[in-house]
Amino acid sequence: MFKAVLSDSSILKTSFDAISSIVDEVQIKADGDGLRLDALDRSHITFVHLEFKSQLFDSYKCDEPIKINVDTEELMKVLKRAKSEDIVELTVDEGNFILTFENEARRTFKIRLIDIEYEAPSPPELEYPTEFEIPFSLLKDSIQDISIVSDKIALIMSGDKFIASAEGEFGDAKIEYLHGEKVTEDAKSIFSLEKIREMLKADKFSETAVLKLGNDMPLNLSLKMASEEGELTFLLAPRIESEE
Amino acid sequence: MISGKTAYLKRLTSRMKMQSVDVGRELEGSTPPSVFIGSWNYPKVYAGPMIAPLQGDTAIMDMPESWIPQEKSQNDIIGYRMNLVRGKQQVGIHDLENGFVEKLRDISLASKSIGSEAEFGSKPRGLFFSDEHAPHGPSALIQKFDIDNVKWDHQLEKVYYDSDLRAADALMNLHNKGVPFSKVQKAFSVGAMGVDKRRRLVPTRWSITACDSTIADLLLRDVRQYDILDVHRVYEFKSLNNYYAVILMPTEWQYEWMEAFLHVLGKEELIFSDYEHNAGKKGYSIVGGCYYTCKMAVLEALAREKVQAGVIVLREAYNGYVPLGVFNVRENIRNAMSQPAREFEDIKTALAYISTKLELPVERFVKQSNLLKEVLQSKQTTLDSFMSN
Repeated sequence: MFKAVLSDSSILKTSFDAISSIVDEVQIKADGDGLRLDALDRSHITFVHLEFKSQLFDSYKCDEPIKINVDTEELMKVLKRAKSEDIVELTVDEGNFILTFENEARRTFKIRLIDIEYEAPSPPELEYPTEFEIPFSLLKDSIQDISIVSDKIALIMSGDKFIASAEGEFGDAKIEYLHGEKVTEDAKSIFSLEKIREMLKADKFSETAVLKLGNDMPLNLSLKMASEEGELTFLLAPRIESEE
Repeated sequence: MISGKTAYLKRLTSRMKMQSVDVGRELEGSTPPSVFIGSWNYPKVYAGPMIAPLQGDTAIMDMPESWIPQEKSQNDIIGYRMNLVRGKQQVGIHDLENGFVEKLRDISLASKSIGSEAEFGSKPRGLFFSDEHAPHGPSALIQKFDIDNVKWDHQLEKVYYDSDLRAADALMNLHNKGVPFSKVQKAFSVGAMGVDKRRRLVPTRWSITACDSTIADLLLRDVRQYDILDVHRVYEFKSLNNYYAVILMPTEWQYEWMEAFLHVLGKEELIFSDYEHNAGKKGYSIVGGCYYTCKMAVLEALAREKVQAGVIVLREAYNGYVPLGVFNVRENIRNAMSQPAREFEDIKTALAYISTKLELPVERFVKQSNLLKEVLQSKQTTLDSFMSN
């Protein structure tokens, strides 16, 4: 049997807020170690990996590995009904993923499991020249700043600075941040702002984000809980500028 | 920009020197069937039938879907429209039980033209052109109005009696069953569909965009699920002093609409445009209803083929162009999408081909564009291209 209890619903909510805007269907795998999910959006632009270790849960039990296939939109609808003080219990039966929110009342939602042929995608294995940490809120603000002038964002590592910049028809914007890492190589890649915005919906997951950047390489954005009991990682394919 | 395009089209239409049909205070004729709900003074609007001073089958006069396939000329179309006399009465949009409104509903649900008799308060005068809906002839307040017995369209009737069916579902339902857009839109405008309490009259111009955008949104929901096209394609169509080119790109859904008005008034060369990224559009388009009409018509074709693509549409309107309403865009795009497509390796060769068909240098479109410029400047890669094998 499978049963997991979590005293804080916000971590599930924030994760699936991002995941449901990227993919329509997911396969959540549960085994003795915890829950994990790997998914690739339909256009193969964004990859997402979510992992909740069993220690994250207040109680966790999984006798044999199971696969939970759900429609992310349906799951999100249910998660939106959870209040932050609710205790969340996850179980499954024959055809349903069951979420119970317990507080003054016990509220049970069943989400139909879907029938999908699902081969968990594996992301490209990439070696990055740079890796650094940045406060999540700063990253989110930078994206908002850039969205005033453009739909694309250049993420740049230049010496001791991390730079987010954009050139628009009616103006430019630039945000510089001292990253405090030892970086030997500069890097620059351009991304769709719309795509980055989808990932940044997971703003309650962690206070810091770990970024890996290269030249015209996918962005690796990783959110890790301070306790290291949970991780949410995104990989986003870059936009590449035409030669002329 | 909206003032730009709206003001421009106002100038265009105000210069139309045409004759509408001459009728007296009493009119015996036929309604195609057709109704018109004005938007002025909303929510107490001027609603009424449109009647031609002719007997028998007048359906073609209010059936834009058949004009282009039947190769009607601009003059034919204007002729039909100028023959439509609009009677009107002021009614509240919620006043659906009113006997006059009930007759309008009868007309909207009718399967064919209906013999009609009207008595006007004064001799109907004038003519009316708009950027959104098809033009019509003279109008006057209507005092007495009678119609022959009406046989309802079976599909519309079913939707009318289903007062639990949401308007959006009703629209999609009718669209899927192949009921012509103009019929669906008329039924929608007289409040003949949707959940009981929410039914109301909807001004004709708003109802056109409401139907287009609702159907487009529902089609897009499906199209997002489909695999992405693997080439660039160009579809084209030319009619009524317009050229349309639709570019499909092998990307996820995104859409840009660009229209150039060339020397219609004098020496002007104006381009108006609007676009959306994958997430869709928030707020009303600055170019108006044609944005949604074109989006609906392209999505209809994508949904039919079960394929997803990015879409860029270029239109040129030339001297002699007359605004006939957004149906013009809808039907031209539908015709374009039903022609065989040309395939291209990339966006540049696709544009190079289109540039041989355009009067304006294609660079002018690029300069005005957002999305087209973006796809020319940079390309969204996929993660597949970073897989090591």
